[in-house]
Amino acid sequence: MEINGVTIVDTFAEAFPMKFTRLVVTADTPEWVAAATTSMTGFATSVIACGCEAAVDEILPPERTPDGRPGASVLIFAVSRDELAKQVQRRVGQCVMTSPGSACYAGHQEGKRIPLGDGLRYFGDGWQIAKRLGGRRYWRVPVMDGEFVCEGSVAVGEGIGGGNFILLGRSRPECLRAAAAAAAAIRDEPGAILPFPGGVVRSGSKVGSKYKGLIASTNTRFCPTLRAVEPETRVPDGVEAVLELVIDGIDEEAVRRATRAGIAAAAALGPAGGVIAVDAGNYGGKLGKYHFRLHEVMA
Amino acid sequence: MTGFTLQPRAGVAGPVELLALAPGRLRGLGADAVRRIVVTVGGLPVPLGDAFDVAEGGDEDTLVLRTEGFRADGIGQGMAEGRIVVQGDAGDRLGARLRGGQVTVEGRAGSHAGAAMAGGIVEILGDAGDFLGAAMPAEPRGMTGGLISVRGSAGARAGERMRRGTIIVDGAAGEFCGAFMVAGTVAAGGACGAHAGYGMRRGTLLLGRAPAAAPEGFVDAGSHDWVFLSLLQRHVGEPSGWLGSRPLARARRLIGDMAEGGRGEILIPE
Repeated sequence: MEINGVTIVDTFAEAFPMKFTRLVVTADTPEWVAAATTSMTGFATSVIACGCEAAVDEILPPERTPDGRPGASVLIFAVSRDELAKQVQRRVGQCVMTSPGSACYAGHQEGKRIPLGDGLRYFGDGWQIAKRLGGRRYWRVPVMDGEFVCEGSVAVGEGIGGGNFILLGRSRPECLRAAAAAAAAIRDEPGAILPFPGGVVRSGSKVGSKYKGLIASTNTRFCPTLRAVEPETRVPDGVEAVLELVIDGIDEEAVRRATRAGIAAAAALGPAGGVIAVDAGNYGGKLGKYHFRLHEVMA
Repeated sequence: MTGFTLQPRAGVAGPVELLALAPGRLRGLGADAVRRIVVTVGGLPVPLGDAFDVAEGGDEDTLVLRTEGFRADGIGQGMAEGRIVVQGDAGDRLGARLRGGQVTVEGRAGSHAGAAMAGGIVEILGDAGDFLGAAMPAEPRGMTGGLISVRGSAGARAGERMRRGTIIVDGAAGEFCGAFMVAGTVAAGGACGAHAGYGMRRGTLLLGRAPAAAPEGFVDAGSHDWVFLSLLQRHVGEPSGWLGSRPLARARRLIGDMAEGGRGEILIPE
């Protein structure tokens, strides 16, 4: 398949079931929302070592937030509900509650719940106040600039982690430009996030390593500098750089939509823009429950 | 099912006790079966059809009750679902022990409206009597959930001993408003009588009009911004009355009753 002269490799992205939740963070201004969410979603690129994968899903105008202030919804993915609960407590407690003027609400209501304010309330040292409004419980925790308002709990959903596609570029700057265009397009798609820096991964990994104890190592098949020595190289002649976009989504459709939007944005640059091909990462289909075939996604 | 409309027959001498009439209980019944339901009129058990003309029709799961000329107590008491619309005034215990659904009175309500209710909505377009959302007589606990909205004023002891839920009174509230509250929110838009929050352990009294002086047992914690007031406004939604009429971000906070640990609050929006 070719789109705008860009080869779409006949392969599939292999993705995995993950637990996710959605939080809505509000503050006095969009800048303070960004301060809280940037901190909260920091060091959350991969469950391999971060405990969770997280990013802002949508920037919310005041009319779409529970308290009528500027806000953002954040998606957080983890491998289990327990791990998700731990990450939510730590990240909201250390990064949102600490951020001036912030409040935090549940953005997902269907499914088993994990504590949010129900755990953080103890910071109030007995002065915290519970309010049940419309069947939902909120905690008001006194802090130095007033009150931190936080919903009591949030539901956990069944999401998908590890959706991906890989851009093969003529040069490093061109590949990066295409990846940035793809990331920008995906950010407009609700229900899917790109947990890596700027939405782009340059150190894609494969499972295992020659070194004991390492569960992942560099994806040699996509390293242009190893093309001559890697027997299974996927880097064709004329490709100097490869970048990956990893997508986590709340369901298959969200991942599919995001993949389609990202590939379309990159392919729109065409060979003239240095985009040679679009590939995807998989493990032969044996590890992940979800397979996103690029040709079907882009059909 | 369709709804029912009850029109009192001429000569009905009250008070009428309507505990047995909940829309959920009427579901699936025809008009004849509804007429056979026993209610209490003047202290005596009487088939409903002897006291009221019963007509089928109207909105599903809705009971329309016309009360002109007599007193009807216990309307919607213990109801769990459906809707009752009272065209006229209601007697005592309107929506008391309500668990769900909605009771709307187009006129006034007597004492103990919404008392000990646990869920649902009680809407009173006129004034409410004493003990609004408070405990039932000889019981220790006031309302534990749901929403009461009064467009007029409320009598004494609104929200007394309540432990959860929201009461909104657009007009004035009588003395001892929110007395002995354990939790929950009472919002009175007009003047509040003496001894507001007396013996309050926790909970929030939101007063649209500042009292002349802080009630005894309360200390002034100054003016602050309150995100939760915006939440309250949005969650209460349409029946918000005075609460929804203006932005409520900033308010003065009085903490009390200090004799009970000082975990309750009176908020006075600025």
